[in-house]
Amino acid sequence: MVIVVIIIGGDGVELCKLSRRSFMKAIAAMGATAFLTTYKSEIVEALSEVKDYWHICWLNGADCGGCTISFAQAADPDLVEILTSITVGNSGLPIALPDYMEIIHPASGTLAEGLKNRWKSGSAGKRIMVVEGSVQNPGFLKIGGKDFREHVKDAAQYADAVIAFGACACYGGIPSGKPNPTRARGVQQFFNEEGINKTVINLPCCPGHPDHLVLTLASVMLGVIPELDAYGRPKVFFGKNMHDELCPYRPYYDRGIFATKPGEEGCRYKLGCKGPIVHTDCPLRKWNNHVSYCVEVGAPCIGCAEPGFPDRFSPFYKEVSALPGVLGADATSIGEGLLAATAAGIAIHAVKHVASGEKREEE
Amino acid sequence: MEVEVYRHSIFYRICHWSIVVTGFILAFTGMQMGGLYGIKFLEGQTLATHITVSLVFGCLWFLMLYYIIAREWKWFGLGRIPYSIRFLTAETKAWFGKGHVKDPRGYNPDRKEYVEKIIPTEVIVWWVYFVLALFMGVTGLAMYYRIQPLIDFAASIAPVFGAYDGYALLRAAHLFGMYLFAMVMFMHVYAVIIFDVLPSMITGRRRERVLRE
Repeated sequence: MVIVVIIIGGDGVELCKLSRRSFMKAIAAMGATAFLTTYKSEIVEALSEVKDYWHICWLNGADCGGCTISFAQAADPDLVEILTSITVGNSGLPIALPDYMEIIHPASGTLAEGLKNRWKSGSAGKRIMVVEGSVQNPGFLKIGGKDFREHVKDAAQYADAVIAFGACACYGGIPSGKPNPTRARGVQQFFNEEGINKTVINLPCCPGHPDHLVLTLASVMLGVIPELDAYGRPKVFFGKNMHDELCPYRPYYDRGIFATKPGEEGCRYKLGCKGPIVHTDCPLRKWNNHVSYCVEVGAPCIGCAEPGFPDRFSPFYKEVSALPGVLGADATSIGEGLLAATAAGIAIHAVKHVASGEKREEE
Repeated sequence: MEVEVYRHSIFYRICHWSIVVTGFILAFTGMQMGGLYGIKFLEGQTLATHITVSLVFGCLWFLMLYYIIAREWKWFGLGRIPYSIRFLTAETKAWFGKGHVKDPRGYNPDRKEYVEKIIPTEVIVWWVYFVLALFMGVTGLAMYYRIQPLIDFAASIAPVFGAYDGYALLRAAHLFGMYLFAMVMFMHVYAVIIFDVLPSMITGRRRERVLRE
């Protein structure tokens, strides 16, 4: 295995034996968890050489706070390690600590709002904006007397990198479910509507996975811009089809063994698993300290890593090939109907044929 | 008056029955993979079997197409489709008790050739079979190999059908294609029994009505 030596110098980072591009490729090849575990010390060493403090502003829109909780449960490295091991030089200060993170920071009221100014006054080029939750129409969310939309627009002016964390911030998520009375939408869409010309790195899933965020933050700090897919997701995390390339239950599918109710052994396809149309690395990464994930505990994948979640994948327990749009009937029902009609037609014809044959014989 | 005629070559018959056998394997492995009707056909690699057999199935259809073009175009040519449709219409009317359709098949022993070799609706049946086989092949292989242009195309029309995305539409279309294939097959099987041509697909020979033009 190639030993990675990361040297910081000049305007940015130079990675000996592992270029900026291959940094992300290595993550893709190994899986982020293995990469983090294996190269944690190198990443820590590289980040420790960054002489300036990175400023993070974490905004919460229409959300449940689950992504913050998910991030707080990061493992290998966990949040304590991130805050205590990855420091600016020998200063003892963490390389990146959110200046503003309303669920976590102890400050409240005007004091908390003042923290945003600290973030804004951070060094240019080192301000990261993380958004959790979707952006709604005016009037549905106010923080400190100001509409959330204005908070986002304001922060966007200063942000050098924008990360949408979780399905809500990326594409609207659960708050955008029908009938979506608040017109909740993702941050990139909001930017487009407001004419804000900034690319958002989307890290979907419900909740967002801490590995995705930790690695994306690390890559941004190291000057590596992850390659994004058509939906703004880093390809290293969301470039693979779960069903085709990663699912441990795929052999069951290939053998035609299906679970028909939760808890049964077999592929979850018949339970409504959306794996065949979802691009994510959940089976590789797993959740809760890399213990398990939705499909492993017997539930179907509900497609939270994809745009359009949840409406596009509802009903969650209906299989992928269902066609609810054709008069309320799916392909199987229509096909069975046609076959039944054919069989009935044949039977009637056969009876008539036999009857007419007997009549001819009688004549 | 009838005369025995050598009707189907050994190549054609082998091709036909090979398609039948591979078609059954595809149907049962497909239904097993789709979790339909509790079918358990194979214990092992159902998908691998399905894909491998589907490639053989496809090759057999193209062999048969080649044979049709080379040797049977006179009977199965595309130009006969309108005639076939007219015949089907007349058959349908007859089925509802309006009129009677005369079997047009006949052999001219003087010229040693058929005047009419097939029931005209066979033209439609053959081409519907071929199109459906092609459709099943394209949708199936697009899913298996993730052929992006096809998935993208399917995705572009997926909303019309209320499908989740291109893959989902392809999968539903593949499933629906199976039912259409089965439907045509049921009619085909019934027709060959009614029109008494099943034995000739085994022996190659059939007693044909003598018909001099």
